[in-house]
Amino acid sequence: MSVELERRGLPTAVISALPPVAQELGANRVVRGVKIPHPCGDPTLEPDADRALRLRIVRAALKSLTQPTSRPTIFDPA
Amino acid sequence: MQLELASFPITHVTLGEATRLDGQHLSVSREQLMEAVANPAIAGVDLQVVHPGESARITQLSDVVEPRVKVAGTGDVFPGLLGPVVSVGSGRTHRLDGLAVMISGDVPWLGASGLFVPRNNFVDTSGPGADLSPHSGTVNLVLRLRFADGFSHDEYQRAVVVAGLRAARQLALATVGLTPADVTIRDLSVSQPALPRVAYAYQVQSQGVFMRTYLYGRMLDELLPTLVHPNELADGAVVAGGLGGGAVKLTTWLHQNNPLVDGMYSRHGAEWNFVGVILHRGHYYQYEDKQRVALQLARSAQLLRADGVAFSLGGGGNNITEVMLAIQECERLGIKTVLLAWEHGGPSGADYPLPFAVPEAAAMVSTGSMDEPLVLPAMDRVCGDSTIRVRPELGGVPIPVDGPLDLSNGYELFGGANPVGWQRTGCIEY
Amino acid sequence: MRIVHFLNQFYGRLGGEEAADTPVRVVDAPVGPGTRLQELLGQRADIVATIVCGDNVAAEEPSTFRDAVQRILQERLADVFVAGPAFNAGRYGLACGAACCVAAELGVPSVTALYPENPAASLYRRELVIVPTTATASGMQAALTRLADLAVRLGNGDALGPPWVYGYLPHGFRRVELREKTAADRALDMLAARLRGEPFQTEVPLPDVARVDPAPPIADLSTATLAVVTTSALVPKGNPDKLRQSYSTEWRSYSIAGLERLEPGAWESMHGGFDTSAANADPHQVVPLDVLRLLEGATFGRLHDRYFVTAGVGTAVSAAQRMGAEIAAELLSSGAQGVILTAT
Repeated sequence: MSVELERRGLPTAVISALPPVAQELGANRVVRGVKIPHPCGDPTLEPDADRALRLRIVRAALKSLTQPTSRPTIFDPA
Repeated sequence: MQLELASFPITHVTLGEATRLDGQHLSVSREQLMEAVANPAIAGVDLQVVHPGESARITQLSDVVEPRVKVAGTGDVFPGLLGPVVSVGSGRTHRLDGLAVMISGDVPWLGASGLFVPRNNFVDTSGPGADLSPHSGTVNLVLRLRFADGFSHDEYQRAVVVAGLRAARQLALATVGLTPADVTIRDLSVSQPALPRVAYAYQVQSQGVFMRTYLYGRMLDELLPTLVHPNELADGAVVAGGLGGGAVKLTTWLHQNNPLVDGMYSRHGAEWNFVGVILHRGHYYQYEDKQRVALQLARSAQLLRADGVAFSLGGGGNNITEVMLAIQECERLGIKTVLLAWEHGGPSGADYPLPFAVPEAAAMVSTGSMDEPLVLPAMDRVCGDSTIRVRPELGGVPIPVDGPLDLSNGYELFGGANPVGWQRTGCIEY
Repeated sequence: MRIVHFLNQFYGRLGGEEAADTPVRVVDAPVGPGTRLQELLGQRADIVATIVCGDNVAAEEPSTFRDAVQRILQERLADVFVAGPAFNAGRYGLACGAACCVAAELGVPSVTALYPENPAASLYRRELVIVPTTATASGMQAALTRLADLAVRLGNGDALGPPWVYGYLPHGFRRVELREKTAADRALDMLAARLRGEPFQTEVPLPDVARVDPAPPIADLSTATLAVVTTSALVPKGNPDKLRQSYSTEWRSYSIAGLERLEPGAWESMHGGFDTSAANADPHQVVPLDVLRLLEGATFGRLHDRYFVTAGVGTAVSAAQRMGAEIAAELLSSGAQGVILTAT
């Protein structure tokens, strides 16, 4: 789906726990997620730590939207 | 480690006073069987027999088990579940060849949905559907369980597993003291050292109570690739523990009769040297874990000095990622691979058939597509519930199976995805 | 049986690249390789006309080209249309494909011949009958022979049998078949062949990877409107629109306007391919609304009023493409400038 969104001019940050698979499928901006059932956080952490992790992941996603990429790129949350 | 696999062919089964083998006819005592499978979570058991070629649709299966018992050698069949954890795979094991114990029954869903449901299913024993499942060709002794209220999924699951194993072993006891029709020697000793060495990377599925596999009685949800001797599979060291299941299900029967294992053995000393089985699971949720599986699998193959590895899939979905990464790693180490894979290319087969692939997967065999709509005629008889539930995400939509079937895909055909290559299915491109 | 043949400027004997701008012209006779094609057709059919066109014309003036081909097919009462062989020539191959599509619209059966790796082959193989050829004209004779036979079959209205029997490229529909040997035996045979160093034929091809040029980055994130798309199948509790658990072909959108958080209990994941308990206990694990609201108005402009959802389990590529296109259309018309897509 991200291929179609990008094709129509919508930069798309894909948060995925399987970044190489997302790349293989054509995603250009891939943000490393945590795990398949919870890509945007880690429920085993304390709520504050989980939220801080989620903030880093989403910040990486937002950053990727402002970056020119010439090929599929994986962005790691800080 | 040498195993003598002694086969007693069965062509006919009837219910009778005592459990006795007479030539190729097995008489089964209902009382003895009931005693063997008794469990507080099971309220009642109904026994039916379906012979190959009969027009029957058997529904709501959780497992299929081939009756076996050890008469010599350490341990006994289904170690860790029926008996103590003792090494198996040597000595002599008796099997009732052509007979399968089927555990059937509508397991309560208890509000489960999504991944957490016992998938409803069916098997046809004649007609076009018979060619599509591995379980249509055996004499099927169907134990249809009614479940008692008030137990958990884990308790139902345990009851289902143990019932199948106990029933299977008890029936095999009828062969003790009798002369088998055939004895096959299973031995990995190398008599032709110049032949290439091959291993089988056997992927199973183990993720919670609805999709569980056991090794010597231990659940494999945390499994990293581990070495298993093929004779251990023959003695039931690997058992299917999940409730329900669909097209991709690996039953205990398939673990006992895996055609890739049997095929590697039959060419041992002629085409190659079979060096072992690398048991592993997929569906890990984190990419790094998939990488760990791949690396360890390839390293195990390398330590076995394998020249070639055959791969199969346990379950459907992102488990193919572990396998593809392992194939990539093996090929980089100079180990030649072949993958037996199901296809998922949509109802018209127009889409790319796999969720993930690597360029190194240049040798693949297709087991057919489970996405293809399935049209099957009515069977004369339904063995089990005459409705099954599909669409678990909606709480389960019942569809009748006592007439002709017009299904939008093959997911409910038990074992229909041909995961270890028992059937002759494949895909042809038009 | 009346056949109209299509050739480019080179095979049409008008010259090479310098003649690539030649407009469509028609000759009422076989031309170039068409002469040999007519010999192979014998009494079975007549090439009543040959359309010749420069490679650039078909590429740069497609509607003029199509109209001309259509007119000629109609005027010459074509029963069958044969284009090429174009071998590995890219522009010529595309012209052949486009011309065959015109014929198809008129109800005239057509056949062309391309090298399988000609880009036109992957573009057109689903709809058209394409004879596979060598990369160069060294395979002209074989290509013409096959073209002749298929043209006659098509002209007779005979159903075309399977691709491997009748010698054309498979359209790309993979169907279940029962083979002679079990899948396990076929796998072991293939392994044996590989170990012996013998050739083998894989049964499942490797994919063409979908690649698209990245969309330009967002120039000013602080004023941008962003939308969330998720394949986690997160929906309002009760799944009011009955989103399919797997093999999704539909998408939905739900309002998050005015919501600062997604409360557990109000949402659930209908996904059939992973353990949904984490998402159900805390929907932010798959739709990170909490932190997006934190950053809204500061790091980025605003969040779209709705989020978009499907269940990414076994979703066929074509369905995913269609859904992506539809969601894109919706987002563009409602002012979104970028997407955060959470994949499960």
